Amino acid sequence: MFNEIDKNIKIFEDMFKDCGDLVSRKIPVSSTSIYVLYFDGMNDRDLIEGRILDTLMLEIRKAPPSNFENLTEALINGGITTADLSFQEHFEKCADAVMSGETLLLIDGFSKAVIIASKHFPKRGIEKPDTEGGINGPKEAFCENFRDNTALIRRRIRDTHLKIKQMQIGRRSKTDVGLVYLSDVVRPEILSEAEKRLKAIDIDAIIDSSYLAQLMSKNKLSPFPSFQLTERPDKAAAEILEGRIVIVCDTSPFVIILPAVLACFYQASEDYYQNYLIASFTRLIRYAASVLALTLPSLYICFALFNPSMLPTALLLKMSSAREGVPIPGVLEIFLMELAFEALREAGVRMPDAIGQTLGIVGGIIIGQAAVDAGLVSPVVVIVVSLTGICSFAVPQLSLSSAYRICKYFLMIASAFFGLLGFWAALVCIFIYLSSLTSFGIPYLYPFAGGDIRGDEGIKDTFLRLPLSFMKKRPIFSNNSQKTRYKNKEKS
Amino acid sequence: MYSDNGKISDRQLKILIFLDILSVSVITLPKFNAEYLGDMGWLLPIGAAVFLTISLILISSLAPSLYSGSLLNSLTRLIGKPLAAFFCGGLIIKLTFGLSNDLRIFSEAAKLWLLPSAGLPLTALIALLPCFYGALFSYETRARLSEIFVFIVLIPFAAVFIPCLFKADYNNIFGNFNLSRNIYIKGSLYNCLLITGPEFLLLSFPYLKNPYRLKGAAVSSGLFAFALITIVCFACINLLGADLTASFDFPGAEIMDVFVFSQGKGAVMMSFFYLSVVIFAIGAIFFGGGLLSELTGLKPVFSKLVISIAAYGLSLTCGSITELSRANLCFNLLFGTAYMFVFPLLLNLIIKFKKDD
Amino acid sequence: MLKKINLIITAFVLGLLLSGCSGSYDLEDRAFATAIAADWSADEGYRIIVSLPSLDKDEALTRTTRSSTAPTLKEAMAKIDRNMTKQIYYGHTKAVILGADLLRSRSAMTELADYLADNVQIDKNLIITGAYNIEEIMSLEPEEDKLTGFYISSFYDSGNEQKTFVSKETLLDLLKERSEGVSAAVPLLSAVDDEPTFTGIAVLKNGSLCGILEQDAAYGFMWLTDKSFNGTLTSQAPAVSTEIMEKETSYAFYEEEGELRAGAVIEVQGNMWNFTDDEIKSKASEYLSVFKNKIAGQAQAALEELSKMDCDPLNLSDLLKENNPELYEKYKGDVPSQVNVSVNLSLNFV
Repeated sequence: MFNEIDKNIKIFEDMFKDCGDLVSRKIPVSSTSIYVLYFDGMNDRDLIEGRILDTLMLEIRKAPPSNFENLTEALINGGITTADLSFQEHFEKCADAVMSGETLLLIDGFSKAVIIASKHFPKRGIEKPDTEGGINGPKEAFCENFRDNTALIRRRIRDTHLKIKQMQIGRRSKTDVGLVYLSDVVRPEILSEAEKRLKAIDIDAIIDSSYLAQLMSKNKLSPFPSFQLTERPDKAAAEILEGRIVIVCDTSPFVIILPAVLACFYQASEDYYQNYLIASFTRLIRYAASVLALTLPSLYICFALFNPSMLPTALLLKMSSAREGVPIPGVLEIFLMELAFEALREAGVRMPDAIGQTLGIVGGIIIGQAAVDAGLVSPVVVIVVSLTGICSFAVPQLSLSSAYRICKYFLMIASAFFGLLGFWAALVCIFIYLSSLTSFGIPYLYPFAGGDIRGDEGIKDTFLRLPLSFMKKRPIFSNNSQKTRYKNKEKS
Repeated sequence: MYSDNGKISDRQLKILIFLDILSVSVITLPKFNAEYLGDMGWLLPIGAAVFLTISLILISSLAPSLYSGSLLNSLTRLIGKPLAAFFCGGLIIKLTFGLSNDLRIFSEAAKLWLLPSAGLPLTALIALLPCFYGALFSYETRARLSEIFVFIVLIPFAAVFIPCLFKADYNNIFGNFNLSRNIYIKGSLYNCLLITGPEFLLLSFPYLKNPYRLKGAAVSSGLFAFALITIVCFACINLLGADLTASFDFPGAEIMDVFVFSQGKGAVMMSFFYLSVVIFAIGAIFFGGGLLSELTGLKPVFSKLVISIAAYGLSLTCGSITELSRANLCFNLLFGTAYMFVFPLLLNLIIKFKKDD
Repeated sequence: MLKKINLIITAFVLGLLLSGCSGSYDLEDRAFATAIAADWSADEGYRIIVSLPSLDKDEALTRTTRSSTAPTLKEAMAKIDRNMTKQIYYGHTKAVILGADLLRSRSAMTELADYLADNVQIDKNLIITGAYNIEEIMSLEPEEDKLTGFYISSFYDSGNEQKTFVSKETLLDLLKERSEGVSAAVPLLSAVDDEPTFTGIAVLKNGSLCGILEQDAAYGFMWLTDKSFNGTLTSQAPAVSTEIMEKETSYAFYEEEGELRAGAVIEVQGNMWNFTDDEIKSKASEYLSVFKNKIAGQAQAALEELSKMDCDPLNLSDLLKENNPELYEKYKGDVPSQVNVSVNLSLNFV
């Protein structure tokens, strides 16, 4: 930056040429000049125009405060009525700040620019979570605003050890990204690895946190998610307290939680707000549902086509009679129905709410029924496909149920060719792959595999959710010095 | 990091040894024992457990001296390169033969229950492919996999064999107890030699977190495996009768077919055994390929491919299960005795003398 | 070059792998056999009837049977397969009904038992039962259980009102008894009032027929064996029935006057409280003696018939070996012909 304001102004004007939303003005104040620069629509105009400029232009201009050494100091320390300001002497960084919603103030004779924090993006308010609903517990969800999101977390963890390490990622988007963690609980190796991976990202823009998740992942070709995404601040806070790291990304209502092992994807916030018995029951339902979502169509193929002795005779006769006249071979029938269900699911996502319900009824019920009546498909296949679809929604995390959707086809193909042997061979391949996966060094199948690393503590919150008073220690994610999270004061 | 840098824990080791020993033994040993000793054939695994314990103690005593570096490197330091290469070469042959044996047995059983219309080569190939895939990963992957599979493998025991004990006829289970000691000892030794798994212990030293605590873990899991094998043999011989048990190729599987709660579930139960075969096979390809790679300088993935193809080819050479059983016994009389008892004993002595020196 | 080799290997493996799906059949391409009936004659060889039920679109049951005759069993079964458009699946077969002539032929019985044992589809818990007329049994249509094979299976289940009591003989039992050289007892059924009814027992030794016990002798055999059962005991004069709750048969062997003797102790517990007629309660002791005479008579009839057969369906040899090894050492070889069995009854009706 230069001391002469006009030189600085010229550079900024060249930089922001043809930006119609840019607001800039050179204002004489007392014996000097100031230059204000900001983007319209991204700024708190009340702060800038109503308070700061008001003070600078009216109060300081009239009578600069005498308790300051010079006019520049008077302007900065007496005129800019906000605590959140910084100084910058590089043009690029000044431009970054302006593009991030800050206000730039240049003072003639001062070789640094004053950056006033005045971000005020258009945003939606704190709403209910869309993808992680529940009956009990908080109903807040993250929004697209970075600071609001960090505030939602900080409100729940009022600990000086809660750190938010910020950085900007994306050459053009310069998206604000923050690593949120408890410095005394988190494993330093995981933190440094996470930072390293974030810093290694060299991309044009980060539009959403899922970009970060995909770019940070070591298993880029894996269908299984290595990071959790959540839109619930309560869940994010709970995971931070377990020693995990949350990555908040500006313009994204989803935060990333890492490391993520398979068991984490079955844990919903709702589980901790209910009685442990019902929570355990629903957990078991989820695990059972995910097994069905993965294996039901393949097992139908195995039992119906290769090993009909597995099915009761009466059911078998009914299934056999229902299939009479169906022109499509059994394997193709179930594949087509699965794909039709996928298409229906995809259509449902994009439909406006008003039409979505109608489409569900038309597509799911009427067309399905009509197809059965017309003899195009058998009713059992419709039931199998529907049940598979319903079970896939029982998994709390969409990313994991998506992985099951993909693996399901692999199992179906193997079963179609080789029956039960093919089914088991394919399932073994999936298990082998899962066993080989790690998330920041932690086995993906923890605590089912490798659970004895921390004395099987993790197993208390998997199939069953034991009472909170039983879960005295943190799982593997925390460092060894902060294993205990609950102490029974009554006993001591 | 938390996976302990590729090392496996005590629990994982116990499970691996248990599954390696179990493998296909539970469906083939009842037939062998019924043929060998008739109604009292179920007693043979008890004697075999004693032999196995001796073998496991001998092998686990080597751990403190051989755990740094691979087996070939450790043995080279101990007995020189030529002898170490000879030892490892023989071990590769044993692993390949063991794998081919298990593969063939499982393929025959799978052909009966799971995929009757497909040819044996195809069944064996399908069974082998996931095992080769699993062997491409680290040893820890196999250990984690075993922790998941062990529960599924135990289902047939909980659902079938243990309830069979309640249906068994306990009158006269010892017959007239007129049993020749020599015959019993010989039969028990055969039982011990027919199982696979102890040789893996030799190869897994570099992967152990705590090689000094190996003995307890190895012996306890070996004994547990043989306890289950004894239960299976008893259930088969008692419920089917010795003659019928000897006449079936896979009496263990026949029992599952008969005594499961409803018809036809034998196929599902058979599937559970595939998992223990997978664990063994992954180990055989992993270790065999690793040894071959060290000996020949081939890339590990090619070595594993060579082992897999060799085992696959070998599994198709025998004409019938009876021939296979005979070949297996002949092979293991030499190689099994060597690698379970003779070589570990010799190595222990060499280590002791070197220490005294 | 390497790419070409890779391509060839991939094509070869794929070709090999794709051949696996030949083992699959769509459900509508299969016919499910629920019962097999087999008989044999010296002239015609094997006569096989297979019951293949199916449901039509309106879920009405169609009971189809297919039969064939051929000199060997394999040919007969193959003939049935050839004449079918669908693939017959035997995994749901519940019962095999053996004709009396087949039971008499040792070679035919052996061939049949081996065929059933080797067929992996067939469940080893398959019920083996005999019949004088296999067509009659296969054409039965009892109201409750419409599938052939299933009504035979439910015939043996407890909770079903039966006029008598029987003990199941499965394929596994048959194979086991054949391999151990132990005698087998196969129940014989007849069709009475469109219902399968127990009418006798075929006693087999080494896979061939030793003799047939009918009427009272058959019931007596059931009293003398230590097998579980269900059923009712009926007396005509006076007309009263009672449900049998428990029965236990044990044997005590002893030597008397240089002869081996056995006492069959039959303890029966029944239930007469089903009847609310006070007259029955007051005449309980009279009815007790009626049933005692009936049971004793039936047991004696069975013993008389068994003494004419050269086999040991009561397993007296094994029982003697278990109870009294010293006596067994003395009389082993042919225990049944040497032992004199008397019946001691203990009846207790609640």
